[in-house]
Amino acid sequence: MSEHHHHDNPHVQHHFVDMDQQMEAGKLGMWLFLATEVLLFGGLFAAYAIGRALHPEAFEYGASKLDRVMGGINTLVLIFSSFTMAWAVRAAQKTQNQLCAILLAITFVCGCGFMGIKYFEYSAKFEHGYLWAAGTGKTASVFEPKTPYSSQTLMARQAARDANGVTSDHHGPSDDHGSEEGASHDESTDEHATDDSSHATTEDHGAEEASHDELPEEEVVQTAAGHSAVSDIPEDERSTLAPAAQGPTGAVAELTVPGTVDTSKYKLYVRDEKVDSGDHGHDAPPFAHLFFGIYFVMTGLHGIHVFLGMGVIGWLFFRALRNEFSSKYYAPVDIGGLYWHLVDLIWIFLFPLLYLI
Amino acid sequence: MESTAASPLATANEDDAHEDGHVHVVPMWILVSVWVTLMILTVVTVAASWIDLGVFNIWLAMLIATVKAGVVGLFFMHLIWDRPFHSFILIASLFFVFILIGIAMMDSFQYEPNVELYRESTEIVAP
Repeated sequence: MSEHHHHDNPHVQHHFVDMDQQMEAGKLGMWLFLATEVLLFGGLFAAYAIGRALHPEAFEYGASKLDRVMGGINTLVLIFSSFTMAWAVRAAQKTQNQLCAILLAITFVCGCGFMGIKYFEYSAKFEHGYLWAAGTGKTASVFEPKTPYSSQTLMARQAARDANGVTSDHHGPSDDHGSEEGASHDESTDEHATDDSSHATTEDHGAEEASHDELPEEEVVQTAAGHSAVSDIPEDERSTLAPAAQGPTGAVAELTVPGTVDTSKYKLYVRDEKVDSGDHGHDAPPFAHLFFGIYFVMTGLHGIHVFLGMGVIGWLFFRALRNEFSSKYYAPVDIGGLYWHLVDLIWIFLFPLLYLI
Repeated sequence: MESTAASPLATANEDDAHEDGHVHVVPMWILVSVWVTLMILTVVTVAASWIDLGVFNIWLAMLIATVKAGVVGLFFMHLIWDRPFHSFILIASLFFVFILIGIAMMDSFQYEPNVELYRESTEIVAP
């Protein structure tokens, strides 16, 4: 049989007959792992497919907000890194440890480049508030559906509280946000319907003021004047109010025009096309947040895989520096390479799906 | 470099998949060709995205991505020289992903009219 392998090569573990068996077992294990990776991402691709099928306009809109040049460069970077990785396997097979180490280093640097570009892309998305529906708590999503309990509403309330000191202190004339509005809201919630004209003015004003460079947070603060009214309603009474009245976003005040809106209706989705006609993604279709949720989860999970792959490549790099690989023992480079190629392969699908179509 | 399986005795005892020796060094020209192919296809797929082909944009992009993935799998991941069982594992996983996507999409379309009805009755767009 092949006993000579067994004694020749110190890398063969005692539970394998020979290097061939060890190599094949390792590769089989890696392929099984890669299959689970395909299934893991498959679930996310399924989410993408369903989301896109049901809300194509939201996905086209989302793709138009991504930088396809950055994405394209990242694709080329990752493809080049796959090339150097495949070359590194070849070098290891030919017992060229120094070349192998250089190629692994280049692959690692490509991984850094990919993550760097990804960082700049993410930063731009955060800056514009192009986020999943809930935002981050620090940065509101411009695509968030305006519900009474949305984080935008909550953040606006918090901003109003911060500006006014304590919650119960809205009645004073020192109110920064204009005591007139606050006072008019004090009487009862039914007033929402009658004093909407003052709100409409405020909101139109707010929409006009919105400019390209403003961050979403500022916009939220702008609407805070309207929100102070809610905090004025005693805590125990709030639960009895119509949901929209509990937490009026900027849009809700306009909505409560008598005769046009049935306020008894449960307002799950509130969209104000007048206010939304401005910048900051307010031209977005209703499910744009779905696209960005999927975008961040898919690219984020992929990014984690790139990080892990870079860790593996770094480990292989040091082993190559120690001249550990040879034509008889190159399995770690080969198998680590398989993982890196799968990461590339997933990006090959992610890139057109998220950026291009 | 392809010497480990050189002994006829060893070869005779090898698994079928090892006929040409288990150290398969991919020729450099194949690696470079694959890399160039992938770069060209990337440029093509980005360029095609600027052209409005309607519904065919998505199919063209997916076709190009599949070709790219196939090339990476076959040559960079050595599947073309590897045991067929490794290809089988990959194809099996893809098969199950397609089952997942296919059935899930059918199901969501099944319920979508109800969802839309609910949404329309609850969404309020300001006048």
